[in-house]
Amino acid sequence: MSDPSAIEHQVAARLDRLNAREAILDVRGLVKTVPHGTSERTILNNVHLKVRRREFLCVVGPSGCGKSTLIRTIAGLEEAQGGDILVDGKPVHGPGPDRAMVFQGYTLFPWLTVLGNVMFGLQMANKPKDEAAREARQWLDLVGLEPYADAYPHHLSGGMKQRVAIARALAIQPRILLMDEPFSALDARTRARMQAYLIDIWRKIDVTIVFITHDLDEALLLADRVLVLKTNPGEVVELMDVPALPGARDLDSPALKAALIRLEGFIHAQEQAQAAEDEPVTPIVRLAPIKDGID
Amino acid sequence: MLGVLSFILPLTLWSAISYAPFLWHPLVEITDPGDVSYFSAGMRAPADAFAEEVEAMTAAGQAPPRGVPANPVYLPAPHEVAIALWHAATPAADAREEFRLSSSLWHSIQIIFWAFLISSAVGVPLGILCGSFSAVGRLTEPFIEFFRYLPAPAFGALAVAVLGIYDAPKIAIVVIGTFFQQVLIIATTTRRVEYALLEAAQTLGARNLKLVRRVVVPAILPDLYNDQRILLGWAWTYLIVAELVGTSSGITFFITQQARYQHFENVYAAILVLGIVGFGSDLLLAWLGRWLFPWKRTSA
Ligand SMILES: Nc1ncnc2c1ncn2[C@@H]1O[C@H](COP(=O)(O)OP(=O)(O)OP(=O)(O)O)[C@@H](O)[C@H]1O
Ligand SMILES: [Mg+2]
Repeated sequence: MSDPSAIEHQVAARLDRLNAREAILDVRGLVKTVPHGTSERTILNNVHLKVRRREFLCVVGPSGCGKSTLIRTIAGLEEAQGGDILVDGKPVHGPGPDRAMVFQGYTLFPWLTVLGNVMFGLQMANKPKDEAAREARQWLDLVGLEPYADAYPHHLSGGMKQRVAIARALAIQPRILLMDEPFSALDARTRARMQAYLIDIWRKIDVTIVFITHDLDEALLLADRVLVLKTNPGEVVELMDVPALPGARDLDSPALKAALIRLEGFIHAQEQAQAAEDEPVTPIVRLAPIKDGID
Repeated sequence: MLGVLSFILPLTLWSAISYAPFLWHPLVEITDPGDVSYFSAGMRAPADAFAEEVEAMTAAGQAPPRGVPANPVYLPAPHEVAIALWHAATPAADAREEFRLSSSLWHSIQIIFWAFLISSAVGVPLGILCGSFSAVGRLTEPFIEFFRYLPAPAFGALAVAVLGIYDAPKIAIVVIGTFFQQVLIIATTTRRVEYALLEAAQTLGARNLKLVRRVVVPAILPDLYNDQRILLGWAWTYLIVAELVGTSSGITFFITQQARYQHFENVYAAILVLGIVGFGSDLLLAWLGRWLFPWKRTSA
């Protein structure tokens, strides 16, 4: 904390180490189109991306730029129209246990207890029930919800639900954890706590995280690198290194402030371009004369 | 509270018409025929005909008839129906089997039970498969959609020819009436499964039949249960037609017989019992549903 240049060196060293690792996720020239009337609309265009083992990558971009589409295609929930997605060097076809996902909405199974939810993926992999239960309890312990093992999801708060969802996703021991705005439905305090939890978990286990957010502060708090997408079609604008070490980060530090300004620059520039393209400029019509004595 | 009131209102109306002599009462029940040759005690005559006879007899110096205002036989008073109900609940030991309300009802319930069981055994799984796999849906649903428009009673003669005259054709009619709706309704319910849950399950390794068994079925179970409740209500309405097929039987036979003998209080008692059994079982099932699926905070 004391010497900014010392931290700079540590960060650079860490990123070097990251870059020396093999790419666990390799997205090559990804193209995603959807039928649009008689023609096609390109949602993602030629996206290249390499994520290293145990990296924490955040994806940001204006609303509707294709962040969810990108992560859902990586998850195998949507098919790509072009390009390849390789996980550990193997091409992705459909969902697989090497990738787990945490969604924005609460997608816990309401008919299962908290423990049952976490056991679900283990049982799908044909683990015997008692073994699955034992493992699931360990994962619940990791997210601090062991005491709630027998509760049903509708008894939990939003933050607890997402913690269960994280435990459920991690229980299948994925190589990559995909998270699509997982905390955006939570209030600010809970979100801050969840961010701390997530970083803590990530540092304890061997998992690579791809995390979507529209909150630039969140991206700077969590990520090693931030991927910025642009809209229409969705393309990579920038892959920015975050100038801070993992753990408790201070958003007021000069390095992160500067990083935030850069990120805002990318997003803001696009939004202006977008607005200029979308809406014809409407002249402001004053309905009352300015000097009407009200002020 | 309003729920109770909704029952009390019609009951009050019925009581008022039955017990207040100045409301309606278009007939006169004759207590003493006097010298009118075609009157007899207990018979009901139109009020104006009775008044004419009273006038004529008095003018002729003969004994005028006497009577009290009455409603037609087809509108018995609540207490008469209540007594009929009581008799139905406590049948005399010597009454013939098919004339007892309770045994008629029991016979009807058995028909419904078997018909609903047979229909559900095929209809529920088929509906779930139609809703889960679009290929199955496209293969079967157009035909089912068509068949749904063929009125079940139209198959009465056919059912008797194939299945004989006893219970089998009746069960068949209720099955035909229920099954096709059942497949379509359950397929629709299955399609309403929250897509996010299916996706979450897929990312956790659930596929195909496992996905259906471990996610689709539990996810729709509360709605499926409610569908079955509604379908059971429909099965009741097909029952009445079904029981007229072949040898008339069950509660329908009871009703037609009692109407033929002008025991309208028994007819009303039987209809009421149908309502009570139907509504009561529905309430029971609704309550059971809330207990079975505590995670589903149903709006119903
Ligand atoms: N299946 C589809 N059919 C048609 N259009 C789609 C489909 N899926 C996504 N889109 C469109 O693609 C664009 C990108 O959607 P996506 O949900 O990936 O954006 P996003 O970056 O996640 O947005 P947000 O920040 O609002 O979550 C949107 O304009 C959306 O309307
Ligand atoms: Mg999104």
